[in-house]
Amino acid sequence: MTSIKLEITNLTKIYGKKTVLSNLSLQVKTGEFFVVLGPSGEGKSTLLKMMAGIEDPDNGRVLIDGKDVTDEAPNKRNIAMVFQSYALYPNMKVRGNIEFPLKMRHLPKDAIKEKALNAARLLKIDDIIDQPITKISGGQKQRVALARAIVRDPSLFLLDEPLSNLDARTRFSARGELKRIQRELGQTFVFVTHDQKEAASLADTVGVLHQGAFEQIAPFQQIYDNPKTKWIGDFVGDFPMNFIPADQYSEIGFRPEWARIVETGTKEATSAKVESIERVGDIHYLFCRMQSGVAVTLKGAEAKEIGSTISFSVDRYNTYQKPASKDVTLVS
Amino acid sequence: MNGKSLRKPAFYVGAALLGLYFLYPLYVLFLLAFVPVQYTIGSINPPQIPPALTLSHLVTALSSPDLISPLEKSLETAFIVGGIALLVGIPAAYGLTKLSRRLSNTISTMLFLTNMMPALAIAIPIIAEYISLGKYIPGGLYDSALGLALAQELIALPLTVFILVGAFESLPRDLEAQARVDGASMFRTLFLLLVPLAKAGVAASFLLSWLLSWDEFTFAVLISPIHPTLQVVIYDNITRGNILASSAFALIVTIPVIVLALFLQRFLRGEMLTGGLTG
Amino acid sequence: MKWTDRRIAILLTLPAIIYVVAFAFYPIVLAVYGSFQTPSQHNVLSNYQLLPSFGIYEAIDNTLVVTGFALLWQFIVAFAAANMLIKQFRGRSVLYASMIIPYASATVVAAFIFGNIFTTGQGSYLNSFLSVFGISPINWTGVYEGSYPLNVLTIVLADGWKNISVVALILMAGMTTIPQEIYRAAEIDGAGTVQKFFRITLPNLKGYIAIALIIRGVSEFNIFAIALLLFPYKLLTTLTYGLYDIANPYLSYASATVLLGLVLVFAVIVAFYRSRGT
Repeated sequence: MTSIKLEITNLTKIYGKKTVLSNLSLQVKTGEFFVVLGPSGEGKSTLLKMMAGIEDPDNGRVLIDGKDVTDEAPNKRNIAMVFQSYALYPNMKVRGNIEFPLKMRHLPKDAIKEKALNAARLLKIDDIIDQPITKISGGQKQRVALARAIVRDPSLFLLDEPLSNLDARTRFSARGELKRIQRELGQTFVFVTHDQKEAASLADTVGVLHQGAFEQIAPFQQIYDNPKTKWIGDFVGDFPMNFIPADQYSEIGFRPEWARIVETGTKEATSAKVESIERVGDIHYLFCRMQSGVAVTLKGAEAKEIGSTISFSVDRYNTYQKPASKDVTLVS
Repeated sequence: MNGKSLRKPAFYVGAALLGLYFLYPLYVLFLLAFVPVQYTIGSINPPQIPPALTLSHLVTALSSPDLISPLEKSLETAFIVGGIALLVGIPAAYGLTKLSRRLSNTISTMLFLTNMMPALAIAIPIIAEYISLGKYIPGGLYDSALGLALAQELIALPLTVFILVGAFESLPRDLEAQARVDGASMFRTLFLLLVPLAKAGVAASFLLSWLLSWDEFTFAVLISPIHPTLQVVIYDNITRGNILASSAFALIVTIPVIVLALFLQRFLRGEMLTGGLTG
Repeated sequence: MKWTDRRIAILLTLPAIIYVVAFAFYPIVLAVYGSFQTPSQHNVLSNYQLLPSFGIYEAIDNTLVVTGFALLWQFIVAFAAANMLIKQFRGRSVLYASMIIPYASATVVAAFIFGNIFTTGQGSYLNSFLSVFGISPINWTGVYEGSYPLNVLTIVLADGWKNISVVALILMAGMTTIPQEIYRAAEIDGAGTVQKFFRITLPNLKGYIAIALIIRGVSEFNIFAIALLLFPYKLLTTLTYGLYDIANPYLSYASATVLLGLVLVFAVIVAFYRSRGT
């Protein structure tokens, strides 16, 4: 039975008139890779900062290892944090940056040196350990930030979009490394991002944060297959979920791959006109419009002509109750 | 007549006039200090271009027995003022960046108001207090470098705090948060991270405070009359009509001024003088 | 803000606050309180009643005149300087440096130099310059029929030399916040230099002008060293200084309190207009 590493209860934050976070509650298990996924500017960073103690909630509690730390200063919480900007200390070299958290713990000099070197080796930056941080690349900076985070075995890791500043290539390999490190160390990670692909590849559990509230907390596949709200269906996935009215009270939602292109005229099939096509490898994604005006994205194995009419049949779907706002809840 | 083609020469004439206003007096100082008497104060219409130069005034001033003691007093006071400015100002500036907007604005206004108090209104009660301290310290703080420095600090401290607040706030916000998370207390964050990164601001504050003390007169003439600073010595010489001595001393006083001014001009910005209260 | 953090922040600021209260606010209170004392009595107005015989009204008068003209001069020249210095041109750094040196100079030195420029008789550099144009020597710092404007001129020029930089720096800081596009748009609409200044620059600088006005205005009211050496009439500051007697400082306190009152009235008026404007 795994223990709860981090728990937040009824966390609320208000800036002036705007409620940025409302009544958030969450439990993260020890050793879990938890991703907070949501659009930019909707409170993800604020949430992380409150877990770290850099900002205070207006209401609610933060508990780490069962202990209420809400009123504790950040330097007393034994957590590690990586910012999007990496926040490397410009007045120190790579070594100084990595050693800093250990210096704060008053460890003996040799122990500090050794642990720092080990962390650098793990992140494969031991060769640049004596470089000033102005002279290293973005990818290397990110590793230094990570090395500094792992060097002192904290109870919890908080990461605020640490991959967003990397170019696409580096981001891809960094993702894999990050997962590997987390597994190896067995640490608990709370990782914030707006990129649902990152969530898909990294997370054990995803918390979808929308307009200051968790709309769904579940493993990524579950969120992908059964998004609780239309908004999530739209936001998560390489392509948004399709929504077609079923009757006057509900809509059905289905992923492109849950529908089949069929012969025109097949019974119970729906027709739509192809407006544009996107090719991904062998797969053709057809952006179509039904006669009612509703747009659907379909997946097909063969090329179709733009302007042509095709028929499709939905094999699998979820039902959502109206009214016609995006925040409609899932029925079945 | 095309307005634009007139603009450029008019602009340069204006700039030249302005430059003249600022630089001519310095030139006159130079003349008074380095030109033989008969071509300066000894003549009814002293020539603007000197026919001769001399070092004799400077030599007389430098070898004057009146120079050493006031020079020491001025230096001592100036360094104390600079030192206290940093000692009190650095923590205060950091504290201000961490307090709520309302509280920090109130304190900023307090500091700003301090600059506005008439020095005379403050100096006289302070002298009475200093003398009464003679019960605990021999002589009290009257006529002492420390006593004078504490009064002059009123001009130096607010400026120092405003400069440093600006310097700290220009640092990336994540840095301080990162240091705190990494286990640093507020003190260690301040001295291990923020101060090293705000080196320029710290240096500028110290130099400015030093300069303000070096140039200061009102407090000096009231609080430290028995062992005066250089400024008071110059004043005494002027009122006694010793123009030559005055000019040589004035030159000595102005040398660090010019050196430091050239250094500070790269750093001094108008925002620092407003204390962040323009909003 | 964690409670512990906020407590430490206040602790960090405390020395500065204590210092300011002890060395500024407390002495002021003592001075004001002392103005109502004499060596023999308490809570009397006798000090204030004595002041007119020492020339308090003339002192207030002179202080207002000098302050007014000094501010006028400083702001006009500072605006000109600021307008020039925000543009790039050959020799800009020289002009900028030449502005900073007076700011860094000592007031006594400034008084000394201008004393020699404006003196009469021998060694007057200004009169020497004017003689080239055939103008006979002018007595700038003497007291005689009609000398008052010249005396005021002398002190305004001397004082302005050192202090224009402060105003110019503040105005420059404000000017850089005005986006250039506004000026371009105005130019397209046909606005000339004067119109651009009064319609765009001035209104946008209200806050900065107010701050500079308070800083400089209050300093002008408190003008001392230069006045002591160049201005033959009494100002409130020189009066306060002259009345100081270690045995009976109370008369001086009274004069100082009048000065303080003047300063506060001025500051409040400017602050009031500034808050009205925003």
